[in-house]
Amino acid sequence: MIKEYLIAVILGLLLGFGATGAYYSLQTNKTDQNQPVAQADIPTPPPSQENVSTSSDTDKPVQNNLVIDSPQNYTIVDNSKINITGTTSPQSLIVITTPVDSYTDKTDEEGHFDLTVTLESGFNIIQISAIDPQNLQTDLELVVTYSTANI
Amino acid sequence: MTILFLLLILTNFASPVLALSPSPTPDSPQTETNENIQKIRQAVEEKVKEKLASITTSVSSGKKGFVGDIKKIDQNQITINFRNQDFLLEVNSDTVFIDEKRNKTSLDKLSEGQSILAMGYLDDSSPILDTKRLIILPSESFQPKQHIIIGSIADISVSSSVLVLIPLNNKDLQYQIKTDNKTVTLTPDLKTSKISTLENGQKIIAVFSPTDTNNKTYYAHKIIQVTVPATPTPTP
Repeated sequence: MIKEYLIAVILGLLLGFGATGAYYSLQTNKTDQNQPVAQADIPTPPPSQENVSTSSDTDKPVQNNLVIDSPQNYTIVDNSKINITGTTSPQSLIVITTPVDSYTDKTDEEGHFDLTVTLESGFNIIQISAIDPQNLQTDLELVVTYSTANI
Repeated sequence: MTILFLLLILTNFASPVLALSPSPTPDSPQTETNENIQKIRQAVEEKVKEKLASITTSVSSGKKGFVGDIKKIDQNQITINFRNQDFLLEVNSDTVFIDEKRNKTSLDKLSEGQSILAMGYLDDSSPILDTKRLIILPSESFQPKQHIIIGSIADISVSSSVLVLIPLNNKDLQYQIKTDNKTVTLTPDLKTSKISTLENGQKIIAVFSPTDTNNKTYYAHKIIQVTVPATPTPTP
């Protein structure tokens, strides 16, 4: 009799804990369903400029480890051909676009680059991308105005 | 005995042990918390935007050319905005105003929302550009003409000269990019190559711009191969 009693108690405890566990996990699932679910992005047109750093500062625009030594941002030049020099990770690919054309080069062992680009008359939004050996892309934007007007 | 056994089991099953603390109901308290968090988030975002917009860029002195959309005209001071940054311009009787058709115009012809290029001088003592020449630009002048993206080729059709590119940093996007015999294709060593050497799954950098006819299809000016398709390693 004691044996049967013990079996009954053990079974009862197992059933009780099982029911409690099921009830508790149901409550947890309901709480999770109330959290906002992230919406998947939908395909959109090209990346907006919010994703590109505008080199707002200063003499040397910087984004991550991409540094432009020359030209300064918002500068005015009187020659349609300018050199863009800078530094980033070694053995990176550099791609630069101006309204006229696109230019590519690789950085040297120390990460330096120096490309000659052509500007159009007026302001030019120049995009500079550096893609490092790990395929990480870093973008910078410069505004350079080509004008021979006497100001 | 058997009946007692069954009764004990049924009794335990019928009265489960409840959780120590009551679980919150799915309704109001949780929803209110989420709404409050959302409100706080929006308020913080607005404050950050206001703060960013009020920051005048610190740019080195000298001859400068600022571009932007006119945000405010206050007598002889103009505030323009470019890429979420404000720039201050000061105009005077020496300032030459030029309209879109390259004709001379005047300050009173300017209005908020117009895109302009302002050329002048910035000195260390003031963040305000002493504007000598102000040119009104066509709208949407500040959209970049070309984009540079590194991605993987998801699909390539030789017959229609179209490839589908998925950016490495956003797998939810895809770009349909047209090529032609003017598209420059380069190897990873920047040597000239052919479009026909491109393959599915290959990583490339594409320099492209929207086509005139369709803003969902782009035209590739240049394609630079980042990788060549990997050869499978032999199993031992």
